[in-house]
Amino acid sequence: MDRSAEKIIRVSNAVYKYNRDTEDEVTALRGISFEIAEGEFVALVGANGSGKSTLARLLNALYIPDEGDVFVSGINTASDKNEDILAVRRTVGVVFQNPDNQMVASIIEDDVAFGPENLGLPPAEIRERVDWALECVGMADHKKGTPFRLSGGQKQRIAIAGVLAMRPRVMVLDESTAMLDPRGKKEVMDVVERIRSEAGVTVIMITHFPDEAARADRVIALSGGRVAMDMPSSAALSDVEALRSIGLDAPLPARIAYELRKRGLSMPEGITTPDGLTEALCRIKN
Amino acid sequence: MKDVVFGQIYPVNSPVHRADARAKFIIMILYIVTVIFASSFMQMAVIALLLLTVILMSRIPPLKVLSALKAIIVLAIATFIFTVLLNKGEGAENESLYLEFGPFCICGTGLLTGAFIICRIVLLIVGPTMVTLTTTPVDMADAIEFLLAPLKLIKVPVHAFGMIMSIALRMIPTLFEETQRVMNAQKARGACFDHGNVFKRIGALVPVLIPLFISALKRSADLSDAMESRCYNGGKGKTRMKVLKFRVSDILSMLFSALLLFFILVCVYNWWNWGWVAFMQMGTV
Amino acid sequence: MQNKELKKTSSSGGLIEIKDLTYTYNPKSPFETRALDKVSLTIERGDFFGIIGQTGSGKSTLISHINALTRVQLKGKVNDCATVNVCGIDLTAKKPDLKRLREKVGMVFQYPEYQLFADTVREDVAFGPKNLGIGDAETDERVREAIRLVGLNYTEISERSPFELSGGQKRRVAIAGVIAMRPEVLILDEPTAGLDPEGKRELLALFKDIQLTTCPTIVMVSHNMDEVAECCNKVAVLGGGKVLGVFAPSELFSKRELIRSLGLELPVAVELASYLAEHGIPVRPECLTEEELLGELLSAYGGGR
Repeated sequence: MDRSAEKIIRVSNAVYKYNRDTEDEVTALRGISFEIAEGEFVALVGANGSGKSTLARLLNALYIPDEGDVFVSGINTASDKNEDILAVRRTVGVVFQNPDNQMVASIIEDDVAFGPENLGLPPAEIRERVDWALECVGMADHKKGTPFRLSGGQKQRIAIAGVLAMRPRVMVLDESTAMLDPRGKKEVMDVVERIRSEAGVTVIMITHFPDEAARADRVIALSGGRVAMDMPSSAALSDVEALRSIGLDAPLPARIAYELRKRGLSMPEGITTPDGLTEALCRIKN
Repeated sequence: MKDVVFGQIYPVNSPVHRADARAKFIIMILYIVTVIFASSFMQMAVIALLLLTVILMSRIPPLKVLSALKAIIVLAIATFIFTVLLNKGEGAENESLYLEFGPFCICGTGLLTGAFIICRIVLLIVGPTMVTLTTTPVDMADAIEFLLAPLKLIKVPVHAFGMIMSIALRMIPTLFEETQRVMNAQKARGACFDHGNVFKRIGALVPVLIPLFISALKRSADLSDAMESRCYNGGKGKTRMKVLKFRVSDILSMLFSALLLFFILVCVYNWWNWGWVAFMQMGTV
Repeated sequence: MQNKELKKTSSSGGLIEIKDLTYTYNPKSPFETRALDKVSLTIERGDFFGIIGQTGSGKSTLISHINALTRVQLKGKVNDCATVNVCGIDLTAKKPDLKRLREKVGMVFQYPEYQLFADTVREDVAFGPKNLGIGDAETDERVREAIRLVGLNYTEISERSPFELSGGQKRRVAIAGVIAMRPEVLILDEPTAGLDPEGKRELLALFKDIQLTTCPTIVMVSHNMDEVAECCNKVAVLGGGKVLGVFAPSELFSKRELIRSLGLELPVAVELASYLAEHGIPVRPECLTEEELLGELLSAYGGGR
């Protein structure tokens, strides 16, 4: 095998148990395998308790798999060398769910600087990265302010800037929009789009909102700690039954198309957008 | 939340805000010593005047600064009352005695001493409040780490201490909000926090404290994940975006504070028997 | 005295009657902000009443008035002409009967699972009834009923610690804790936040069930317009501390400009229906729910055998 073709993320047969070897042992992941190439935009979906968040922590070496391996740009996260772990974390940044629980400093720019400072960069470069990252998420005007009076969406954008300032190649968003109102969700999603297009970051977005998953190129669905689906997002999101069986909703156009098809109308497979549904309906009319 | 002044920077741009945090800490220590040594109303007035200058320079509304006193108002009043009641003003010949009952009395000396102590408490609170109002917690943590650096030699984890402080300051408003939220939730379920005796009231707090404790644990677990994932490594190899740098103005301010301390000491002890010192000893208590 | 009489007659209209209520945070300080500005609202018995508006529009302040967690500001003169009457209790009084009020108005906060504290589910659910001074036998009966109403199994769950349950179960237990007080009005603040689609569906079904069986009046604050369209019969729109109108859902969601200008979303069904209508598909753009839209499409295209 050609090592240079090594994917940026490779998970093979990963098993993870909480409270291992105790009475309360819970197996969160039961043998997960997938690869993600640089530049992909992947939505990782699954109902609550499907193991999504555990997987996010595996990609960042916060957890080490009990069985199987996780490789980040060729480095095994189980390595006991400190440099390796730091290299993994420099490559994969994670934005977590609760914006209040991931800020270390009470001044916005100080918080964004936390990551680069830990990397031991020279002050001038940290300053440059912090300014760039805050610019990227549209929070440059607030950099000297405190996060307390900001909206959830703004706080989460700062958390994204904090990860971005470490210049990661992969960004994992672990249900980062779950606690936000619609405006906050939109702010965060727009920022993610921008980071993807402008900074070329590989994005893995953990979510259970079908409209957010629809923005991705590929969907990996987890259920009960296993990979239930792994396919292009249009194929995954139009499979209403498969999604329902793992407790998730398909986007509305897909659900409508599915119901119409069930009642005898001719609807092509793979409809996920209003556009697709319109086209299919027009074809019936003519 | 608005009442918790401590640990809450008032973010405006001013010379006081820009000053080096370490300088501010050193000045604060010198200031505290100075206030403690000051022994006359005149000396207090000089200190208060300088403090007022600093407050005005900081562009923080003076009322905002004074609201820090809310937290200690009970303590201050209690101190005042006890000082007044227990001070018998013995030895003073022209003592004016206003009231006497049992072991207590109200006399001129007592009132003066009480007033003096109130002044001292106010100055002791307002000064350090100015540091917290003008310094970001990160800078403060850095400053403490710097000042405690000698302790590293005896293997005290000074960096961890600074980090803990920075995070604690960061989390205070969040936890405060959370407390309010949980209290409201339990109130809505009929809980009462202002009825009954002390034991009942403490008991009534259990349904608030347990959820708070659990959520604090969750927050700390989340935070440690977030910090680790951002390559936090116990401060090993860590650099700083904002390198603390003593500027001329910082050094001059520190020298000035040292001078002030010296001045007050001269006023108190008058080692060289200078005549003008008597003026500064006016209203000695 | 006369004034009081007047208030009483005017309040006979609804179960919750709010008129000209104003609330200011940090009055007379530089941080002064007006959270509510002459808000008037009537909620009748049997309503599933939605309150929508952006974060900061005054929703939370409004609902916390209904439960007197925020008290009507009596200092100054702003509320001199205000009426706040909830289940016959006048909250503009100096000392309203809060105990009776909390008995009648149950409040489920956002992420209610964070208020759990007791060793067992049973004790936690019994906390409310006990605070109301209800006897052991009846408390026990209420706890059983509440746990059953939220779709959990009493024998399985009552002696377990609430902290070892799943997220969805915890939320149900917390809701049971409120229902066990047998309120006449249930206030829900973003009840489905953070749940997955199935969890959301189940919880909404549960509230509809509770409305039919035990608590006829429900007030729900939500950002999720699909939920509002599905559950509510009336919706109040708040913006900048004012009530911009109270509408039936079908009426509300045809006011696109208003919804958009407030930075709110349309229900996905409305969004899709109007997209289809714009592109020449014969459907009414006002379809509120998936079922409605599907029904229209089926009748238009002759499916549904």
